[in-house]
Amino acid sequence: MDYIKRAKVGVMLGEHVNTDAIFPARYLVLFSPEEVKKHLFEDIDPTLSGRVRGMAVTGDADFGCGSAREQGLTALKYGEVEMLVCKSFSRAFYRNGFNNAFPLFTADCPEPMAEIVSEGDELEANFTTGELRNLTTNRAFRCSPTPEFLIALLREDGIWNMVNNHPELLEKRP
Amino acid sequence: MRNMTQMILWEKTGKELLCGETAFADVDVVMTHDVGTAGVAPLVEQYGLEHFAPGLEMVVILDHFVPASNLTQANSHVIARNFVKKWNVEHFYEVGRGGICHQVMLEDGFARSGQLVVATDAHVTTYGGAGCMGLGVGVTDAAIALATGKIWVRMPKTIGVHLTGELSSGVTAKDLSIELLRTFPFSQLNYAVVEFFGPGISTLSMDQRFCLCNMLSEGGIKSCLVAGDALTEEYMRVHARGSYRVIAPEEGAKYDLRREVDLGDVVPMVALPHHPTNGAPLSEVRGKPIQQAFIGSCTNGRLEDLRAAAEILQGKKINEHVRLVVTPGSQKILFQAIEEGLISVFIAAGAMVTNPSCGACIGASSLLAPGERCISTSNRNFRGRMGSVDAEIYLASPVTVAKSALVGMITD
Repeated sequence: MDYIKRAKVGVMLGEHVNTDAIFPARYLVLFSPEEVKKHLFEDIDPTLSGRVRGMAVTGDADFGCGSAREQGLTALKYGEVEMLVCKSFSRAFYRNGFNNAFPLFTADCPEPMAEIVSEGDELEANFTTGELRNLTTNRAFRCSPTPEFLIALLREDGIWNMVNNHPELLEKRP
Repeated sequence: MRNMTQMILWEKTGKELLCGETAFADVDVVMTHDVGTAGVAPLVEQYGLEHFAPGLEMVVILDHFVPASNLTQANSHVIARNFVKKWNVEHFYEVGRGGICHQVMLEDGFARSGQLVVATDAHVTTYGGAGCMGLGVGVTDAAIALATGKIWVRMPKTIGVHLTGELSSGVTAKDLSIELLRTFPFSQLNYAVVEFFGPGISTLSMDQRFCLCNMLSEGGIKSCLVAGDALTEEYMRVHARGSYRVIAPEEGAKYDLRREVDLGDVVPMVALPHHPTNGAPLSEVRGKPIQQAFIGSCTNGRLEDLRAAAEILQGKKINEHVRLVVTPGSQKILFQAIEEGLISVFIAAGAMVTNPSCGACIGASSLLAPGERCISTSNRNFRGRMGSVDAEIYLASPVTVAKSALVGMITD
């Protein structure tokens, strides 16, 4: 069965949204969900976190760049953002997303984000086929499928469950 | 004909992975700093671990909020100390005994040629200067590595940069890396491993190689590797605390993208606010007044950087409208800088010399007020990173920062 997520877009952000903008470095020592979610997007707009709960967030290229800090990702998860749809993601941010079973959809179709979606539109992202559908405008966009291993991380609810459920993955190499 | 990425990842996964394929790789060393340890500690409890994976080295280094300047930071250090005690972590660097984690990992020989190190910090790419693959991860990956001794990896695309020539006088690896970040599109660097090789390598000191691999992290790379040579071998012989294997790409090794760079073509560069890829030649930026200058960080807090700055500042006074903050990268570097008289030069010039730590780079101290401008040797100039979101950060080499501190404006 295809892995599909659907959500309305709460905010559209630009390119190079860095981890300091998602979760400022001054709070780095905070890890509890209650503390972390309070500071989501604080330096962009302190009211933004309230407007993205239960919604999708979109961004352009290089979302999550900068630090490998996991709170850049968990702030979105604990803040109950449904999914991220971006042109591309920074590597460590991308890993942190799938390790925590948080859906990050890479919208690498040729069309720019502004053509794909507007704030308030409802998006349906099919991670298995790579099809991104704007249900409000009824347009579909062809993007790369998410690799199987990463979809498995989403289905298994993260990396810790996966390594426990599939010890064969960790078998000593020949 | 393997490139260095294939050499390391094929060995560590036991599979000849093709680009895009995923597998679990054996990890040699896990390093967490104070912030990372505070995040990893509750996870390993949550996972119910009884011990860490055998054969894995673990290093804990306090560096981000050193010294602790509020109770939350002090408590995070307590979490780290308790973690070290509970899990019998053999290698722990207390406040005042180590310095910036990446520098400590290199000078104390935990980052070794041909090995795979996982750390809760993006600038782990620095180790590539010694041919060690450093992967920056979040706390979950670090905890998984401690539990299993492994990390999942996706075989990356590789970029080969063939270096020829020699950097001109006054031009450094910092300028080279800002130039590379300016010209390589993000779409090419993202998730790639960048490998440097060619005759130009031997003209770069180890400190220059570390700076290059550190700074390239800002392009979104997975990692960075410099081909090993006699200098690498010598560095490993002196520093390595355990086995290593100096590596270089095999003759005819293939890359997804290859680029030629003549080091002689590189000019002094500055990265403009608010992203390290916003590079411009220094000649186009000069004249902007500054209020703060910062020499330090895991990019440019090494001995060679301090020597270059001291040479410029020797016998001179910093501009009266500027404060210069100098933060040596480690206790060893600080000690050596004292021995060489560099610290006296900085103090006589009117600089503030701080303890080794991440300090001003992450806005842990020496904050910028709204409207202020700083020229910094660090690696990130994101809005708000060093203090106010209404301040500006320009990134440059220690040479450029020292010269600018003297005249009170960005200068060449």
